Amino acid sequence: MGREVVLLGVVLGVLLGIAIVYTYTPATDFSVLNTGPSGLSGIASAYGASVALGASHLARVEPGDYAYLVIRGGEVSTGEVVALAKFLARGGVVVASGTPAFLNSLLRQLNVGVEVSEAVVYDSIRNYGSRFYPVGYSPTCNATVVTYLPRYVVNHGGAEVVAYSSELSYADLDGDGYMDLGEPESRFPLVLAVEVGGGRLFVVTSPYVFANDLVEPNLGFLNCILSGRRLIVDQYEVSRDPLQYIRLVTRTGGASDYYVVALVALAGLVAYAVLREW
Amino acid sequence: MRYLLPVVLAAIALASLPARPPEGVEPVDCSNLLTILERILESVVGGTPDPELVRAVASAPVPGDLGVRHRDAYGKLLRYLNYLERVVGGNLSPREARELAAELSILASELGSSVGGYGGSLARCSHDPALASTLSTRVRQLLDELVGVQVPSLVQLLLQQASRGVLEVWLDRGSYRAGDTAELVVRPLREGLEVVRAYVALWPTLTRVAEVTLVRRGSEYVGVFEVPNLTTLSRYYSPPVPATVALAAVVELLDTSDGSTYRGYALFSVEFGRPVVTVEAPATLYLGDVLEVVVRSDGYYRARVSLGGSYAVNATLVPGTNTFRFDTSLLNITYGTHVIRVEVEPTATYIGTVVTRPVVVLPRVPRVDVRLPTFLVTVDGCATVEVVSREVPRAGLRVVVYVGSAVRGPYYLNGSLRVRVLLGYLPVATAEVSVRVVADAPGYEAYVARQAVVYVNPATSIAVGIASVFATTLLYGREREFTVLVLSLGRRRVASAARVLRSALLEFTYRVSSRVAELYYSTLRRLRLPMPEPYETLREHFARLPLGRGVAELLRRLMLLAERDLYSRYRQDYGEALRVAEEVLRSGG
Repeated sequence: MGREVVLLGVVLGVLLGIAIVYTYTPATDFSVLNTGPSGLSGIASAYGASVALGASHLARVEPGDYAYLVIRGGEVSTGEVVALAKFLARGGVVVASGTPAFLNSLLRQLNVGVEVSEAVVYDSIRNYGSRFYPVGYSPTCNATVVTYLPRYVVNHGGAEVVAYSSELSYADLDGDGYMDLGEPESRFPLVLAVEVGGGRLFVVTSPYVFANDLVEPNLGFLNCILSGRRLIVDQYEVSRDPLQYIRLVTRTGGASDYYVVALVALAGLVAYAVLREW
Repeated sequence: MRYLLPVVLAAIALASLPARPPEGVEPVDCSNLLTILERILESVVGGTPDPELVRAVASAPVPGDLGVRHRDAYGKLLRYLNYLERVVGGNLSPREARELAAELSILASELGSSVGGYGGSLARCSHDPALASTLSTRVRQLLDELVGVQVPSLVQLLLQQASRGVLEVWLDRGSYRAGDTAELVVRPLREGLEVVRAYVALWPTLTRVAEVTLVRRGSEYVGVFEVPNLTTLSRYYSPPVPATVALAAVVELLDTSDGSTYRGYALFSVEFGRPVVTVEAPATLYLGDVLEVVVRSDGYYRARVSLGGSYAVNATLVPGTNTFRFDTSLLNITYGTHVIRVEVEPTATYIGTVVTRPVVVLPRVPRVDVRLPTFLVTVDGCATVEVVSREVPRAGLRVVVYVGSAVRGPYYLNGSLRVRVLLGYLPVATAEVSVRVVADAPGYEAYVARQAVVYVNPATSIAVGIASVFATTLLYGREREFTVLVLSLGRRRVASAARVLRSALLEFTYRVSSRVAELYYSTLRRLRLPMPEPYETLREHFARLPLGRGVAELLRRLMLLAERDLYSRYRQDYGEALRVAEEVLRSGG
């Protein structure tokens, strides 16, 4: 009797753990399943976005109909750059954002001549509550863009500035969070666009433009740059966590939570029966 | 278990916290606000204020007492700009002009204390003392200039407006092209006024560009001048000169009766032509190919055609089609996006223009398909990587596979290649697999495909499951001893715990064959008696047990039942053994 209680406890514990881990909304930044401030569930539901686990997915879609949103932290590989370049050359739209390391690796390999630094742009005047949220303006779209800690573009070469901060914003070059002597105060590019073949590559210096926290005030701008295309959200980095991968595959693959919970419960029953007979 | 819910809730609450500003950074940056104040004052004093900008600054979300001072200071500056607009806009009656002059005088006294006080507050809370010191000095200077010089001048101007109707100035047109001839007419409306000078100036800085000679014709003065061309104006502009430039014809008159001077203005614009030039080129090409650029022009222009920063050619564009060819194998360019740039030089009547067109130079990478699974169920922990060449290779292709830091290869690709790579033995994990295909030929870049592979290993999962069950069974009822084994530092305790575990192992072995023996061991354990060693028989073990007579007899019966159950051909009655065991516990407990 005692052994059975332990066994049942172990099976129930494992099931409960799986259920909690599975059903609890993940706090992973820029995950389409994250409904928190830094998640992408808002933009995914607003545009009925589909999910891709890497740029290789782009070979299977018609570029003229799609826009690909890619937010990354790490550097991008040559294979992915080639896939992105081909997608762009055939008329696709790529919206790239993330860390300077990611943006610079992508832009360097595409030889766009744009360089993004680690320095942050602040705006004490035109902002969304505090200077950490500079509000930019896009003349092309006639819309405002609310950002959070956007990065300073050192050099934007021949890229078109789609949205820029107000002329009173400044770049905190030394990273101390305040303006110092010699730190530039000007309009800074917040969103850049580069014509690549028949397509356009948008470089957004703040990935939080797409996050749940800010997606609503940015809908006008997003409608403009997506221009009616269907959205594909890159989840390569999110899916590197096996649990996130399973979540992405099941949730974005059409399986409901009830289905998954029922499956786990069934597996638990089988496990219990097997272990009991052991 | 009862702590689980609070822990989960706390974890959810922590994860749901909104993104926060950087650690230790205050929401208000006084240095920045001081810079903005200086900049706004500079524009107001410099005569180029942007009321929209000042309004935006005034409504900025600045919290606390500083916010009150901020709104008060910018509110007064806005009032000043409003007065300024009314003065420049004209159409003030003499009475309005006098009232406005009085209001301006009052405002001037308030401006000094309000803006000055706000600037002082900002300097005190500023993060950078050097910047604060420099800027607050400059703010004071600008305020002195505004309150001490400009406001009194404005008052003077208002008083002049109160006595307007002195002269009229006009041009034959409002807009000209460069090189056109313009006619300027001045009509004094009072006797005794004489033209001192007339000139063309940039508006609104009034930088003098050219003199105009006026001649008297009846009651008017008339002058003819050539509208400045691009060559002349480019001296006053940092390039490029805009397509439309605003200029003013300025006339100064002297009243011979009292020696006072008057000034009249006629504004006009100069528009320059813009060349119509388009560029056509393919969207993509492979590194090493020849790029053909077609430039269409509507006229003869000197131009510079360049590809990226690596190559440029100076040429004269002719009306129609102009073709340029760039052999990318001869140029020092890398793959990626390059901009074809056609810079048309300005002429005296046409502004310059720049037309660009991007072209993607694709790396000449091996054309291969790399097939990698994203999700994999594997028994041996390995995954199959497949590389297929999509073209007849012009050079040898080498394939190297990286799994994490482990390297497999190089393999030589001849058509297709299948490689088994070890991902790992964990039950569920992810491994990043990179496949690098390198061509043994100059001009080629490596093709790298990277994929995170999630793999499930059922064999390891089952092994882990079995180990878990085994460990659970082994340790059941031995939690204390196990804890002692893990935690105790004393040798005796470890040895004792090890002995207990050995006994448990023995018991586990017996349990498989005899429920009665299992019951016997359980009874021994509950009586806190030592368990048999692996090398002794049950009888030998029983002989050394320290037992009272009553318990000894009952336990001996149980031992014999266990012995028979273990070693005889017949299974003993478990019910009887259970009854004996209960009696033993009753008398022993």
